[in-house]
Amino acid sequence: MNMCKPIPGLQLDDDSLQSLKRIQKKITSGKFLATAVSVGVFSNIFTKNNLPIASYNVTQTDWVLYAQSMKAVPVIIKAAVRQEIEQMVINYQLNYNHKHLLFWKGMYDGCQQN
Amino acid sequence: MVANRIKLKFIFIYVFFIFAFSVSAESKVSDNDIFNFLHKNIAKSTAELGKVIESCEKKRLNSVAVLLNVDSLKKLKAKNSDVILALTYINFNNSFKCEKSARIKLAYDLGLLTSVKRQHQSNIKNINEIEDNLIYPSVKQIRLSIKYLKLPAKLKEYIRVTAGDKPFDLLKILRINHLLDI
Repeated sequence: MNMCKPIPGLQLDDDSLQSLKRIQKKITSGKFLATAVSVGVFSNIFTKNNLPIASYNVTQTDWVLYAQSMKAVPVIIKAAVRQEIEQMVINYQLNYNHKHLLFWKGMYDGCQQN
Repeated sequence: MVANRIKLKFIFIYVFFIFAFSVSAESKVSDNDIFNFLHKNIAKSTAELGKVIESCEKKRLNSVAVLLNVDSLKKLKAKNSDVILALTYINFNNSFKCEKSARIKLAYDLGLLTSVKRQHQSNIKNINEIEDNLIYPSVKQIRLSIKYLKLPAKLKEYIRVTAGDKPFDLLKILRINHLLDI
């Protein structure tokens, strides 16, 4: 991964700040999706008072499906975040804002701090 | 004697199963069962969408960045900004088409849960957030679609044919065609 390059004098404008908020919302929504996926599985375990029924449900629960759906959540979030960043790159390319373009291109490629 | 005992055992087992199944068939479906069913459907369609996105992403990353013909663009009197706009829209559209059925399935399952929760007067805010932020196209993408529709027909046709109908790496295409400043 590239090292993060400083962008002197960059002050994020409203568009960029709004976009960062949208990215944060996408990550939070991913957590909601993970919860929605988990509810079906775990309510089977915890909502049954009768122990033999509960253990029956634990073995019946489709753990494979649970694992697959939990694995899918970060993939869905990543796709949504990539699209948002791509749009910001295009936005600043069309509006000729070089510093913001560098910032969002850095977001797209990813970088690590020194 | 032994045969009679075995026969009797089988009759008992038979009667037990008949009783057990008739009881389970008549048992009520609780609200909890309904929500579990709906959440399980969401888990299935989430898993499916994840797989589809991964497969489309592979196509995108393996795509060959096409070079646009400078003479053709000159003939069309295309502005750089219009070419960028057209490529961006087609990229979005190709990706959307690739994931469409899986997205619609998850949107439907989330919508069904929202509908049932609304009938139970439960909180649906989080489900709506998932739909808005992860499943449906953004307002920016809709705005982009409208701008694309207003572009000259010949330019749209040229870019559509050149870029193809599979997902592609937008920034790679822009860079190779000198349409990106960085």
